[in-house]
Amino acid sequence: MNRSENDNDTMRLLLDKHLSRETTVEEDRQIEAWLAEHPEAEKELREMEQIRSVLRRAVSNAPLPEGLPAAVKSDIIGSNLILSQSSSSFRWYYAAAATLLILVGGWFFLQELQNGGTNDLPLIVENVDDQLKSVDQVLQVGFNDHLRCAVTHYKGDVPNYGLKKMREKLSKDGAGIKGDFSDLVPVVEEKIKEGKLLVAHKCRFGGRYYVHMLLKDEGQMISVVITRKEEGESLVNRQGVARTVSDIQIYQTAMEGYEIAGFDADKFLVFVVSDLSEQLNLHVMSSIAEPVMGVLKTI
Amino acid sequence: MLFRKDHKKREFESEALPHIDELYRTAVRLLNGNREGASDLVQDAFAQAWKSFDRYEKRTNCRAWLYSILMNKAKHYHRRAATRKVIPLSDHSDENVLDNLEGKIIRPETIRDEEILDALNRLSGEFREVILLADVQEFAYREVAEILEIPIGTVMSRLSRARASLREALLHYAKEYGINTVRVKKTE
Repeated sequence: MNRSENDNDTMRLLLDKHLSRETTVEEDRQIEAWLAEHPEAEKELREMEQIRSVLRRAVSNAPLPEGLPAAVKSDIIGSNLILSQSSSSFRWYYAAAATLLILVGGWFFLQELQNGGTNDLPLIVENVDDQLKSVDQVLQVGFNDHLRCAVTHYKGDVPNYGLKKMREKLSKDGAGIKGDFSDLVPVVEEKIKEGKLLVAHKCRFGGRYYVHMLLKDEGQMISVVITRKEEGESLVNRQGVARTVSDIQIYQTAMEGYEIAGFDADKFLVFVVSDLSEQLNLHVMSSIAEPVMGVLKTI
Repeated sequence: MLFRKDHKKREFESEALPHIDELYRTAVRLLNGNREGASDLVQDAFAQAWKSFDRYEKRTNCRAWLYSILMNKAKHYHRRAATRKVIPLSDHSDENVLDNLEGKIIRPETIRDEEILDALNRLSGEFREVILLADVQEFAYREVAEILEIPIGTVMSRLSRARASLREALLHYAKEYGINTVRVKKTE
């Protein structure tokens, strides 16, 4: 490499530094002198400045997915790394409930001493187990998948798979949730009148696998979400049952404008998540709870 | 304990979450316009950021820290991807890139968004990431070096070659679609 080529390379690096506003005063002087002697280099420099500006504009013009900030927040909350507002208050509730139980227990104990009796005291205590997730946290599992798959992924533009394809999708042992769930398709299709069943598939989100059925009616979306239970997740004999259908206890909550109903199906959790009203969402869940439980028992 | 978690959450919300939009837009370009993949990438990056938020030195440079996480996630993503659509310029050595550009200029005022993004897509991943960090997000060389975990000298040389490649990709594009370029007279 001769001296002139070396000079060119050095100047190219300096010009790049100048573009990035990383040059010193001395280097700027060098550049000025070089550009005065090399007008084509000056044109190139101006051109690169414009290209950078056009590129910045093009990148920043990219549309943003609507549900992304909510999905990010939900990811964080859903991963149990932090407690949401509601679950924080739930913990306070537990603490208050535990204190109350101690006081009530103490009072009964004193009564017993005073009466000198030895009768057993009927005392029903909610399991205040730190490992047990709150009802809201369990329901959030279904909400996470709805938000990720129905809201963020499809963005309202839901394809129509057709019943045959949906059955195929649910019969395969794909996406880590083993088992033939295809019999859920006719159940959901027949029982839910509030939307048309368009998509049924197995999907994965945040390291968890789901059976997901998506129904739509004009602007409204309804997700039926099924996932295998994990440690600490139970919706059996918890406080706040919203409705009981054929001995199936259904729980319901609202998160970020969506209604989430859920029940415990032994090995699975079943959710209905929608932007329907509270009553209607509960009605949808009630209509499928028994037949869905029946199908899941065969898996 | 509860207060500490709430405090941490508030800090994360005020320091990290405002960068979601720009991280997403960068991720879209890192993945050649794959919006769905970009959403996943950004969610993964923020989940990771939250996990390690205790290790982040508060009020230093949260933005650069988030980008370093995003870049790492993008590398893993590319490794996982079975097929990757790249229109490489790998058959051009650096010298060829520079030679091809001698004496030609582009008219940037005529370039449309999709044209420049297409040109960006034609670059290799390494070139694309350095252009995105230095030219689009305007990080300093030192910050780019920290984010990509490479020496500053490598940032400088890579950026120089990446810019030259971008110009070349634009020239290719211009030629392909009949967009005017101007040949300027060289001064000896």
